Amino acid sequence: MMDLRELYQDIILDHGRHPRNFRTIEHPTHFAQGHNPLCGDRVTVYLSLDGDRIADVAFQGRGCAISTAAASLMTEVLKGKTIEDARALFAQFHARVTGGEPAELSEPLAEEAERLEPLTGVKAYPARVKCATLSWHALEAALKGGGVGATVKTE
Amino acid sequence: MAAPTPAQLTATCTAPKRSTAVFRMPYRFIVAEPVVSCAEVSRRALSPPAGFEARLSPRTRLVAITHIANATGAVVPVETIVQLAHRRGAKVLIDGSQAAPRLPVDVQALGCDFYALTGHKVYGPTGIGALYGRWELLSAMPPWQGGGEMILSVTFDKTEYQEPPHRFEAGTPDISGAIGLGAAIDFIEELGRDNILEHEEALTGYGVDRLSPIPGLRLLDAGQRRLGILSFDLEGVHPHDVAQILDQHHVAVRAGHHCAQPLMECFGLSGTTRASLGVYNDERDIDRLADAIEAAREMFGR
Repeated sequence: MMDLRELYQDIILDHGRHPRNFRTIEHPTHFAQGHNPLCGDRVTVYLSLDGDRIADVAFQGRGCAISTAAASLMTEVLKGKTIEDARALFAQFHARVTGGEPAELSEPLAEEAERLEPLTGVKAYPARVKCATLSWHALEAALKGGGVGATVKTE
Repeated sequence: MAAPTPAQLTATCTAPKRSTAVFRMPYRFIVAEPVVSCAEVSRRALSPPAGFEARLSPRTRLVAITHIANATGAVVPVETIVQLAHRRGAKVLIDGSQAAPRLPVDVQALGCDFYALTGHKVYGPTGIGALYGRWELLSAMPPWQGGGEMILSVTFDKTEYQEPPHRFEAGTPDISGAIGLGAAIDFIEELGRDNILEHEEALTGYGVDRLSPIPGLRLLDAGQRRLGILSFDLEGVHPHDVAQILDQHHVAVRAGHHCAQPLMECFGLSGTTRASLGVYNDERDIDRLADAIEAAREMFGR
């Protein structure tokens, strides 16, 4: 078994305790709720799109340190990205935490993806993978559902 | 106690008072919108059942209640509940999932109409349990499922069913499960139910003493008597993070809402971390638990 400090790195503990962009967006163009019924975690992701570019992204909800930190880091890397970039980042992140084959990313995106590296410790704890991806699933649902506020469940 | 039968249980996880399991789910299988009355939960947990009595009406058919609450460890004064319910003509079903492995249970002394237990909580196999029912009630009840072994005779005119328990055990029974459950109950009887109770009471008391002084730790209120379950909130640390760290320290607990979401809501929590005690635990295990909780506090800077 690996050292727990690899799962709970300082950056995770910091973002878990002091999440960034932890707020609502008053008039989001897109939003969706992510819900993990197994653990009760809930996260709502708000987006404000300017064309196909993410002008602002924020989240609210309650969850464990991993899911809170994952949502916080997600909002940090997504700001200013295009929808296409966001989807590519999620696909790559998803592959890294589930042990899949991560796709190559272009240079600036690859750098952003590196910022998510501390979260990839969940790979060794299958039960916690959902914690790391919940906000990303909510993001995907928001992009699909627009301003109607869909709910996506992970179990 | 009646001999264990391979009767399957419809609900395996229950909690007191406002529980998803006891107070709604099973009835939804029977009618779409059951009228279910829930005694209010106060932060003082199970106070004397005055509030409970007010909830009974002449239309109350069944009172379903846990003997020991899985989410808090509260021992429910079921004898009083049975008396009050019977006075109003209601039947009483007690869920003994947590109580059967911890208390000497005498269903006749309790006076209950039904008593359920589950195999995996009495050190037995999963997927099997036992349902006790008073003979006159079981005899008056129709089968709920058809299959082999539950028919006495079939003619062109009528079908006669076997006597209980056979009429409720249609089809090939879970033979290996029943043998396993019998062995588990033998194991409990050999240890002695009074010895188990004494052990669990001492260990629960020791656990409360060791855990209560930990800063930021709040044991869920269990009313007047707590047995075998230490369910707690650690301020500022999510139960799943607590459980992860405890796991690393080789302490196995359950984290979450324990199938009692409405109760968690009453306590203002999304879930708790729950340590369940058993015959194989001793004080060193409690010490390990306390040390691991301290490690979690340290990691999360609490």
